[in-house]
Amino acid sequence: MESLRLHTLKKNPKRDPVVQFRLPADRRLCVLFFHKTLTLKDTNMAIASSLMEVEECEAMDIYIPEEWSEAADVIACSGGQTQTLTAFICGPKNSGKSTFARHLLQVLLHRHKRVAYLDSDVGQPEFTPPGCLSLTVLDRETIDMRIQPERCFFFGDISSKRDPEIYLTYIYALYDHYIKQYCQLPSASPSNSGVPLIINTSGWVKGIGYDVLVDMLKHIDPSHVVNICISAKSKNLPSGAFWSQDGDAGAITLIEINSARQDSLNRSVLVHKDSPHLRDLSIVTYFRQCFPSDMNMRSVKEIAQALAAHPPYEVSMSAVNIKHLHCEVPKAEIFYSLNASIVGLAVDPEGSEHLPRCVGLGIVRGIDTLRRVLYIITPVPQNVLEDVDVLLQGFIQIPTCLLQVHGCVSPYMASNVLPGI
Amino acid sequence: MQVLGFKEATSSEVFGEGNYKLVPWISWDDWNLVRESLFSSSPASIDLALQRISAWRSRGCVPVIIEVTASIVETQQKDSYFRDGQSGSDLLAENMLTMLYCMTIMRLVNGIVEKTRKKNEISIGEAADVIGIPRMLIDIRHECSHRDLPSLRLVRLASRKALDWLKDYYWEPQKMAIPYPGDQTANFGKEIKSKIRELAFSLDVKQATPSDSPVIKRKRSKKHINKALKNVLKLYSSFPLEVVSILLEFLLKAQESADVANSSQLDDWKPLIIKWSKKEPDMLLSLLGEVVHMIETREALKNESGEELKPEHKSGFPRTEHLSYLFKWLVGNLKDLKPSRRKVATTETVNSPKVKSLPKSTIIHLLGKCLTVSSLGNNHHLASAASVLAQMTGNHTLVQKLNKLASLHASNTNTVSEVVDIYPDSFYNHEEMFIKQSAQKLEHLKQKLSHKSGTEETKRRWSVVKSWKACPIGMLPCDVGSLGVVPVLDIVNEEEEEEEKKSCGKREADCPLVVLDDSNVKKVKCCGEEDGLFGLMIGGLWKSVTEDEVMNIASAVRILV
Repeated sequence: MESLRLHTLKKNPKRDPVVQFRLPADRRLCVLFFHKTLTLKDTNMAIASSLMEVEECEAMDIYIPEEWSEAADVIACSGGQTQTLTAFICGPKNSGKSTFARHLLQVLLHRHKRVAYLDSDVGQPEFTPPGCLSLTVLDRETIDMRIQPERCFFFGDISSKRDPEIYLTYIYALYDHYIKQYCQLPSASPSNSGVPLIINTSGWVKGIGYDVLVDMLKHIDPSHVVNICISAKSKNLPSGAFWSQDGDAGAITLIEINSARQDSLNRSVLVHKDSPHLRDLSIVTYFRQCFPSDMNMRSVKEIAQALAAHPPYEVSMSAVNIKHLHCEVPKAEIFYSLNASIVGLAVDPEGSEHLPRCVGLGIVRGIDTLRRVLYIITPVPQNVLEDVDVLLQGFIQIPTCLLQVHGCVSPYMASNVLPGI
Repeated sequence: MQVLGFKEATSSEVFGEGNYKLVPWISWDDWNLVRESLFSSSPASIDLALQRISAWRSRGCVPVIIEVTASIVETQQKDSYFRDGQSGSDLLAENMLTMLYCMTIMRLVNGIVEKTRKKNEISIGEAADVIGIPRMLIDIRHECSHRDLPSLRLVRLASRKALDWLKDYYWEPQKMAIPYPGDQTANFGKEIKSKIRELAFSLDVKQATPSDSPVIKRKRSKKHINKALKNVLKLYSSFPLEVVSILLEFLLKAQESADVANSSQLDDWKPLIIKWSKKEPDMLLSLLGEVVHMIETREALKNESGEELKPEHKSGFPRTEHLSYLFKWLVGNLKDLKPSRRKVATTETVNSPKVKSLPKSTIIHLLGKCLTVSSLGNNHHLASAASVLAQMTGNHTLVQKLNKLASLHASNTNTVSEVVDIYPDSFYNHEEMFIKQSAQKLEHLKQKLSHKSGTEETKRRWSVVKSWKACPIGMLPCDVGSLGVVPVLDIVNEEEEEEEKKSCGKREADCPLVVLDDSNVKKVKCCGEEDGLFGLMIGGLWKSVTEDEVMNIASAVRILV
């Protein structure tokens, strides 16, 4: 029962006034670079140099306070023989959960060959487009390769509130998969043993979001819980072992730290992020993979243009099941619902208790009811696609920038809509 | 993976371009259909509207105001008060109805007022007043969230008032704001006309300038031409259909004013067409497609009425002869255009695949259409245009076949004129065309067959489409022209198909052509392939045939041709 409290802040960690984190697409960008580099300093340089080429270049040092590195070191060094290292990172929106998770990942990769990452932040995941829940295994060698999640489910919304129950089912299934593959078979595959797990969570820590978080904690029973706090106390998670009834953390090490960026009065400086914009960007980046990476496409507009002309996959209507995850669509209206929407491409499992495994996202770019085929754009390679027999529809909105290509405006972009409706 | 798109600083810059808004309906027609059905008195059509709205809901971008309207209507459909004569399990108990009405009214007030109210400066009641929500609704919202559930009679009344208000506040004004295609053409028509005229004029001027005129003047006129061309191209990219139809109008006028034999008037337009098509080769193809379509419509009209339309301009349609001449003339232009484009292709390797691959399928498509149409009337213009098109495809056998066909046609008209005089003299020509087409299609089928039996490997569920034209997401690519077509999204029902077949058969029976036609291949209009069975349009009916049957038909056809 050891509770580390590192946020006492007797010594004020040296704080650079230039430190900023104002990048519009910080998540995406850092994902793109962090695994290429070994230290965060390099990461910054990589980002900066890549942005030199584009018009606006902001100062974007990612700042890791001493408190954070200490916490990460504590977690990394506690390599217990009894239990596999499992770090559960939680905290309110914009407190820096993903940044800390990335930092921890870097630190852990120095000591371990591979690290697993369970992403439950369904609105802004790290390695998948929005709407997906995934377990990804990273190693030091995955440089310059597209990281494919080890296992992925399509939840089909940007928040767990639409269906907390199925959300938890997916998370548990991912965790159970991790346990089965990396913790229970040490004799069969020794290389799989000792793979630590990082669990990142969403910033929804009040109301139903809190309940979901507590349920996750109870099921997963991690070795470490990192609770990141911001200065606005009312928005934080409760301190202490909030998930247990008697407030006893048991064998779990609880680490409470402050958000990285604070002003002179020790108030947290929250980054205002345009989340819908980031989501759109993330989706566009995902579909950018339909084209060779050496193809010169710099702007969203160019990608949208190219996607409109991109020869899609063709699949017979009878070869796939179409399912909406969150509402009932009248049978006769399926195609009205499906056209020009984003779907999860999933493989129907054999057993009934299994969940449909998602291999990627697709855009249903056209439907020919006479020929009875669907036209779908996706970066998923054909050999993987061959198993796909379920199209999961959800509420992941197709970015409007893909619909209003110059001279190619989608019929779903209407002008003359009454203002304020 | 590469970093992308970080040029764009703000979301509004990239994502909120123009006044376009993401909507769940595919067209305003779709929206209007729902509006009409939703407020109709027939439960069946109301049900249809509600179903469509639930499809919209599943897309996730339905305006609250539509959702609320649907909820009120749906609840009323479950209320015996609004559905007298209806009894039984469809209806709901009173307190259930009350709760549904209350919930909807609450959502209406909160959902719609919240959008107009900025922060919490004014109360809900005040904000509701501003947009004229009936006071009753505000009271019910308060009542049911904080006090007793209101009475059913009250919420019923409120539901009616709410619907009236919703119509006044949203449905009617929105209907008025819809851009109707007619309006749009009227609005933009003038501009398009003037811009095209400007371009035509500037080109004329350049031609008229004698060669000894000062160089400066020439330069200026060149600038002028470029500017005019740019304007026209800009218009074309946003309103391709309108621009093409207006240009067509100009061309037809030019042609009519001159005689058919005298083409000088039309040739004045040649530089414009050439200049334009060099920039936008699609335009010429769209134009051709449009002309063929007009001929088709005209011929169909003629066939339906069973006689020639006597006065040429009564129906507002130009004469087929004019149209076919225009077609030939345009094909000539297309031919002239080709070599120059090829030159470009050799220098600009980047663009060449795009430019080259585009016309071929379209040309074949045009050729097909041209053949079907020309069979209906004796039409040497179209026939010669067809042979030019065939040459352009670079397919020698096709050219030969066409030549054979032409000679067949000539001999037919000589020898069997007495048989033919009862019927339109194009009859044999017509038949030959169809047989020829059938032969082509069957050959195609045979190829497919042999290909299929040759590579009987595991059939792939997912395959990349072989040829694709750029078109907006949510649309299907179009054979002719640059725009896509809005797909039909209704599920094709088996029963409906049956009905269609029946009516189709009846119509065929009226046609005198079929009576004479005793060959077992009547009309092979189209062929599809599904699960080893082939669908053939025989005598106006879709029939599934086996591979053997197809082979039999194929051999029969070969003898005829």
